[in-house]
Amino acid sequence: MNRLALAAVLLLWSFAARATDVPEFHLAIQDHAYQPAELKVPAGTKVKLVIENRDASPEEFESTEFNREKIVLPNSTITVYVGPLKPGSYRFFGDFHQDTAQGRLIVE
Amino acid sequence: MRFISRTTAATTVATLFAVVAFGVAGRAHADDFIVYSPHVIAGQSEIELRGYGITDGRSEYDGERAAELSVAHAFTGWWKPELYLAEYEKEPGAGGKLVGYEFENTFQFTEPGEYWADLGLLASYGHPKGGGPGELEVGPLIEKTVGRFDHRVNLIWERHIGAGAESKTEFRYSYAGTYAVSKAFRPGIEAYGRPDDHAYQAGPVVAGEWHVPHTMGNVEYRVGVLLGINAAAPRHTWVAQLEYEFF
Repeated sequence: MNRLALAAVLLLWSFAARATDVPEFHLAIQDHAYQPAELKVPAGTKVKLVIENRDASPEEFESTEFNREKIVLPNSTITVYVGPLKPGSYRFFGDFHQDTAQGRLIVE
Repeated sequence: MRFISRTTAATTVATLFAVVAFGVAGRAHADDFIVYSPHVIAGQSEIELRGYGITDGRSEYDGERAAELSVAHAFTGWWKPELYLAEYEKEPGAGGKLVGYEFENTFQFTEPGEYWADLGLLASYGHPKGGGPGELEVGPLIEKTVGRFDHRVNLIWERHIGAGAESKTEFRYSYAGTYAVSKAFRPGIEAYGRPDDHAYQAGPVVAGEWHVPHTMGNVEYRVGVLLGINAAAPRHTWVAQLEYEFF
């Protein structure tokens, strides 16, 4: 039973243990396109993306390559935590406007 | 401490389920063969059909089937209630019938990726059609993504309540690991354990989704087969899920 309690405490602690000073990067969605279309972020560290949708329709920020999916309502802002990632180029897109809403995280 | 404030808000409702839940079950249900994500996408609605069918050389298992039809809407970024409008079950050698309804809630406690793993809670009440004990389920939902890999773990406690309910709590656990080759193709494995039934199963699955052109919706699917690991588990359980998600 003591082992179970210890495991529970460790589990809760691991959830609460988030990295401090997470670097923040900004993206905007305008006319169903990401601005900038390429965003450079550091490798090996968690980053916080702040995504602002300036359009009048919702968009879904999504990436298969770093496994994220989140809706951005019209004229609103969301935050998305990503990484740590290895150096490379990771595609993200807007699920509702895939023809135009395309971007890449350049991790270096 | 956003973690604490979000947790406090979500657990206010969830605790109502948790304080009562502890004791019974029996056969597997359709919702036994799914590994829930703790992620809630605010504003998203869902229509979902899922089920399973068993093929086994043994008459006590062969031909068992179950399916569920549900609708859901995420009112906030931390709460998604889901209503199961129809639950169908067919036991081996018997006819199929509608068995009840269910009100299920997913609570997202942490922002995806913010902590080492993402944490949520499942809390549901199943109401039988035609009387009998109801069923409470509660337990943590855990998810960890690493690049294209996604891992989920569910720990679910289940207890019957009401007239004729047994005073016993049953426990089940499940794991899903997938690799996103593309948005539409995520192969992986799922594993399920029901210690009280001495039933352990695991097998390959494929999941994915497609955007429906000119809409704000996606069609999501999942199919797989679970193989019985021990003699008390069905030899082949075929699972399938089809869902339409939209805003």
